[in-house]
Amino acid sequence: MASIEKDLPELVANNVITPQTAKDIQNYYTSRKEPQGNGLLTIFGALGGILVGLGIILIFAHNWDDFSKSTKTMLAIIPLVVTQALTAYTLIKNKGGVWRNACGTLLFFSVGASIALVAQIYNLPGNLGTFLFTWIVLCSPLIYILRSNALAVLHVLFATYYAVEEGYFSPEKPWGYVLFIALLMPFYIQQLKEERNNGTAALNWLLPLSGLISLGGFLDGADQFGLLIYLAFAGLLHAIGYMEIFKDSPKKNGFLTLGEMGIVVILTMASFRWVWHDVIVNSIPHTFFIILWLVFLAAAIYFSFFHKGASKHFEPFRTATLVFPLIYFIGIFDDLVPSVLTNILVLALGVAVIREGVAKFDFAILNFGLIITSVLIACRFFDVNMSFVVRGLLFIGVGVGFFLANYVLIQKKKNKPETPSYEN
Amino acid sequence: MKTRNILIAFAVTALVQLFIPLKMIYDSHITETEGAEYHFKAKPIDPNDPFRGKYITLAFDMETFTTADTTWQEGDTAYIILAKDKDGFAIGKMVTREKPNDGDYITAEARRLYDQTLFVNLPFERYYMEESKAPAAEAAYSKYAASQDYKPVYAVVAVRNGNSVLKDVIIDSMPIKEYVIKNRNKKPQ
Repeated sequence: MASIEKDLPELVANNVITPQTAKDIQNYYTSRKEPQGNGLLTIFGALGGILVGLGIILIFAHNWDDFSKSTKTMLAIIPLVVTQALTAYTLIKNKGGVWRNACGTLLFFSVGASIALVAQIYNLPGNLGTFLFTWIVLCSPLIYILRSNALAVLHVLFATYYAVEEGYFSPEKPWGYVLFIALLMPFYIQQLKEERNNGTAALNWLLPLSGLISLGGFLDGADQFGLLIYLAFAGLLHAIGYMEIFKDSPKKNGFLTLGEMGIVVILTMASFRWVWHDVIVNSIPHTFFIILWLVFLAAAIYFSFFHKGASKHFEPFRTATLVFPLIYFIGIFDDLVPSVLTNILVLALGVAVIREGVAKFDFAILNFGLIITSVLIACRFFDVNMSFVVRGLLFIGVGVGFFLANYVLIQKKKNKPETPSYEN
Repeated sequence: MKTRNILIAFAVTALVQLFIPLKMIYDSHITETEGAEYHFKAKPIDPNDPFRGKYITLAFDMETFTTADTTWQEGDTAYIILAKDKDGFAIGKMVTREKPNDGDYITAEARRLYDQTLFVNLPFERYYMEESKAPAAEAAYSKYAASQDYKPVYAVVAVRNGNSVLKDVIIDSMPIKEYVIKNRNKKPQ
């Protein structure tokens, strides 16, 4: 309906409708809500499409000896034509979200089934990566044509599958993944601005997760420099999560949460001393990796401080993203100093998060900070050779710390009953 | 987007979606029916593809070439000009970067160069089989390979203008599908 709204100024300018009518039309579309249950039906429609489509592919994959080559060829084409016809009907009749998403997913899998079956009939070569690439490319225009979130979700899932297959299991870099994500961006940004629904919420989590998984596919040969690249990328996700556009949906914000988790995981890995042995050995990475790191870091800094509406303040995760590269460069000359500094950085991060949790009366944040601190302590048990008694006592200490911190916060909260609750 | 534009965009997408499998069918069909037939000595093993089903991967005798060219890189296209030996099996007469003008040739992919020996991937190393038969085919082959009256196992491949289509795999003078069924029905002695 957004297109009608876009045409309103033109209609008013040409005296087709009065400004009042234009306002009424706008109010109508703003206030109109999708019929209740429609969102759920869309999800089930898309899920149905996925299951049926996957079922068809699996049945074909059995490879039926009883069918002649020509029968199999017909089977490869007919489902595709039928689902294309269904999709054309959906478009001509201007059907709603349920139809568009269900038809879209069915067509997506029909395309896959078709090229899979043809490959099977004629024993065509090509690894799984090439197959997935062809499939995704053939279906990507459908996201825009059908304005389907289900297809966007499938697109991200399959792009990730492709990146893992090509990146982790072959020497190639999965460049197609960058293309796929770029193809999706205009749609995703438009959805974020105009229509917030379950599909957008799913993408808010899927996209950062997919990025974190797929990035490893590009890092073959980067060795420990990969830590630096990953940290800059997690920092970028975190900075994106802080953007104005996500402000009103903190609970649905995968960028922020996954960015924070990524930063903590990478820093905890870098807190082991043995990691730094290899940094000295492989101190000069390939130019590609240096460029990749600089791009992510520059983007993270841009979104943190220079983007329109950026909060500009130094919060703990942002600071960690910027401080870690300095520690890494010390690591080129020595292995003890950077591991000690990383430990201090993680500890400081944990304490800062605990402080934030206490200040905001937020148990989720408080316990996240406690987890960061205790994971760090637990990790040191692998490095340091101390007696079981000492380790046991330390663990008890950490456990008691958990109880105490939460208890203190509960008490503080009781004394301030008017404070809004963030407790999960 | 206006409905008319959406429909045009969809029509183009749908046509491309149809064109790709139809082109695959056409290319393979014409090669299969009109191409020259070659027999490539091979050994089968059994892997799995989540979307296209089970297949046997073929390892070919003809996968290495001696070459003086030291510039071969992984992934380069390698044209292999074909001939037949005295027993009628395919042999690679020559490997080249230039597309040959005449004669039968296949389009392969360079894998690695080691001490003047170029290793290539032939473009027909997957033979899709019914899901219960692919593992059975591998088992039957290992048993057959150890037997006294071993005759070379080979792939029947149609070749035309650099395109190639794997038509069948022959083991003990019969198609591998039949060989699997025959051996499955045999009672263990």
